[in-house]
Amino acid sequence: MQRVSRACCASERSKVSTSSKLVWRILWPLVGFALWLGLASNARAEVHTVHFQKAQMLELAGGSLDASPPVLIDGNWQSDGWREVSLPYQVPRETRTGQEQEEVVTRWFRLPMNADEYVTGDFFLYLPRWQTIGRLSVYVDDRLVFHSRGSAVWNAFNIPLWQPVTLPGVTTPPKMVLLRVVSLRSSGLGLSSAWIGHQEDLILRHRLREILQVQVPFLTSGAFLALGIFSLMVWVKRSHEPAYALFFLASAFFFLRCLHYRSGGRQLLLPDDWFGWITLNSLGWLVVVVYLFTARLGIRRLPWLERSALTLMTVCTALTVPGLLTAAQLALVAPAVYAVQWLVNVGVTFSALWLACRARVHEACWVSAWGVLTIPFGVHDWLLHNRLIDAESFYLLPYNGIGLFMIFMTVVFRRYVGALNEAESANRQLEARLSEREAALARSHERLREIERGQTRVQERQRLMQDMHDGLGSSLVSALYAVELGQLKGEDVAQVLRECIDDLKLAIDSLEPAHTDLVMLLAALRFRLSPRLQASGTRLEWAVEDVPPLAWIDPRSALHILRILQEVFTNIVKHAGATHIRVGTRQEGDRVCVTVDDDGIGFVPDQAATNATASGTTKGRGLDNLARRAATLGARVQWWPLHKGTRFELSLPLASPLSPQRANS
Amino acid sequence: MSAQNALIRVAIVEDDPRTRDALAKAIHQAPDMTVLWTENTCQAALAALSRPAADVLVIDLGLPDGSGIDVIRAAHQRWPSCHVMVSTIFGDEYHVLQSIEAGAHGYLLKDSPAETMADEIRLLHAGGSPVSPMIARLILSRLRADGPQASDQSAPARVPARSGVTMSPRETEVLELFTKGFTYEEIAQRMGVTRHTVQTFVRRIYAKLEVGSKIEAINAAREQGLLRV
Repeated sequence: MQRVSRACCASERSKVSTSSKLVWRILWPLVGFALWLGLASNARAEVHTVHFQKAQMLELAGGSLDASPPVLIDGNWQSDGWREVSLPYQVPRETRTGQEQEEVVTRWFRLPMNADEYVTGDFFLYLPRWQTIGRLSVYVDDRLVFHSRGSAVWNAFNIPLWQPVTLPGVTTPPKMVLLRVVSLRSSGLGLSSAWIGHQEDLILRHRLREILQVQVPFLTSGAFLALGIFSLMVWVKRSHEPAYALFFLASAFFFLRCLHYRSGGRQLLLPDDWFGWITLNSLGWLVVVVYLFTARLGIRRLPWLERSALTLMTVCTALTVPGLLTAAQLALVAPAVYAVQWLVNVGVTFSALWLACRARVHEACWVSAWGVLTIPFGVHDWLLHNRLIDAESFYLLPYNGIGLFMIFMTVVFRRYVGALNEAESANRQLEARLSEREAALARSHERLREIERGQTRVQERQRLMQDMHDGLGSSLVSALYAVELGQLKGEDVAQVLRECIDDLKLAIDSLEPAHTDLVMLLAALRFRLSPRLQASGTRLEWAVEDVPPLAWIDPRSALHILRILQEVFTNIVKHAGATHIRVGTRQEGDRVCVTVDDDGIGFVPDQAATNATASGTTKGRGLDNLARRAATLGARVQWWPLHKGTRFELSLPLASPLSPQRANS
Repeated sequence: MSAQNALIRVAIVEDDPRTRDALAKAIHQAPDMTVLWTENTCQAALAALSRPAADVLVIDLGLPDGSGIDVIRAAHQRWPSCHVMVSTIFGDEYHVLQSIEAGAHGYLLKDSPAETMADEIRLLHAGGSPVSPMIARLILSRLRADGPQASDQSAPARVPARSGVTMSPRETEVLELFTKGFTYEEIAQRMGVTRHTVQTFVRRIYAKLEVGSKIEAINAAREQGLLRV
């Protein structure tokens, strides 16, 4: 027994000292994990606290794992056989070969306290770890105050004991604390050093160890499981990416593995053997799953290794199925199974590291390098589990697992985010391509329109050229010849030129945008021709009525209509000797008719045509043109003799004529 | 001017000598009119506006040193009582409408026979204005108060209805009859009014066109911040 410190009894100084410790308590988490090894041997000044690094031990053969311990013992019931042992105290497990009856051993540890030296108050026993297959009881001044319940196998081997050791109604410190451990002899024993003291002096120490040892692994394994479930849901939608499923499996195995770090003190929900089976195998499977995950990060796959790892693990799992072996046997077989699993672990981990380094895949390198750390950590835990090292050590594999999962998570979520980014950039590319296409389409459309415009211009030009050629051009040329031959007098020249200007004006009018309005077209014609009609002394009666618009009339057909009527007027003025002309419009079914009546000499078209071909006069040529233009429009031209004079009728279809494009031919 | 049979004094701005001579000859031949002066450039014409007003100004738009439109505008201002007519070959929209908007009252077709020319000048001086069907249609599309109609859908898009100026139904009717090719006499007969009334309608419409163009100019200036009202 070592008394760590002895403070003065003055409560004031004690408080000062306590408050200075508060600062430490705040600093403690910061120093944190790095100091965990130094915890047990911490030589910090403490008050009213005894740290037992030695104890008196009595070992007795026999005892029962199931029977309840005596409630009271006689303090002097056994005075011989005690020997001093140092704490932590460990007896290694034995590797058993036969199936002989399990031998039970009872060990007593005596922690004496010199009660006079301590101030009164609530005293607590803090025992960082006890591990064996068996049960622990605590006696205070010969009275039982604690007895471990639940499973004898999955007892609270990883949960620090925190037990009040002040008897009810007693204010003085306990004189003697006794630990009684009943266990299978083969399972050995690991017992850490013990602390007895005031709660306030020990609580931080206890809580810190509890958090690091029990809660951190449990909480992180739960958190990873949640992420794993998310990952599983991703995998359900993206089953071609096994990494997500493997992440889930790893998180599930890790969670199962971490369960036993928190077990003890209560009845398990599962039978001991099933719980042990899960605990044992989940670690091996975790290692294999990590390898499978690593192997899918872009390094060379070794199918044979994957197959043998899976086979070996399946064998281990099958071998340890409960029912094959007893619970006690299972506990004893565990080291061997661990050994096989570590063989697999070492095999796959180093292969992964080697392949990852060769392939220079960073993610695989990280995972496998961290995986390699599992080996020393695992060795440490194996030693601890087999009571070969100080029982105050922490089990390290959970922390290794946490680190591994951090890397794991980084990898999986980098993939996830990468996939999202890829989708986004694919979208952007798609959009870019789309707008490119649109632009190209717009360009080609614009080109087409340009071509169309060009064609329109060409057609327009052809139309005007045709018109100029037939009308204006030929009139001017014939006038020119006539002038050169001296056949034309000044007044005749002026007449020819006037006609040319009229032609020109009608050509301009045909470009009017309102040409679908037939009456408007006739009005333009009247406006152009009336000076000449007036000059010839012909009276014009304007009897037009509104008619429906003719949607098919374009500049070309408008000019045809104007030219037809111009020809008719010219003929009347030149040849009919009429004094009165009546122009009218009307609708007749699906046609619109323009009539021009004159009171001149009768005019029979056939006769005129015959005359025209015979004499070859301009009049004949004019009629030819007239007929040609009418045919182009899908229009009908007719002449009737009137009582006095002639009626000309131009009949236009209301709907689009069958072949308006014939004008091109 | 006091005498009823006073001569119509005509000023001519025309850069083509033959056209100018033909026009001057037609006026000389007419017993009731006389040529006040002739000019062949914008500059000279603007300078001539400081002289006593003419009764009729015949002007060509394409002058060697600028557009006759400026002269029309100046003449409309300096000689309010003067009737301005633009001289054109085709009587087309480009020449006629912008002249009317600048303040002209009519147009004269250059290829008209001498007698017709004299008649046109006389008619203009008497308060009449010639209206071709195409011009009537364009004015309709610009001034129609009740928005564009079916027949106007094909009208050029750059002539939206003018804001601020609208036509009365009678004025619209007159213009519609012009688009159908009817003459003053026929329109007067159809509407049951005198020819003089129809002339008054047309003059009013022309004035509205000019006012409309002025309002537009003011609006444009206000929009551009050139003018604060």
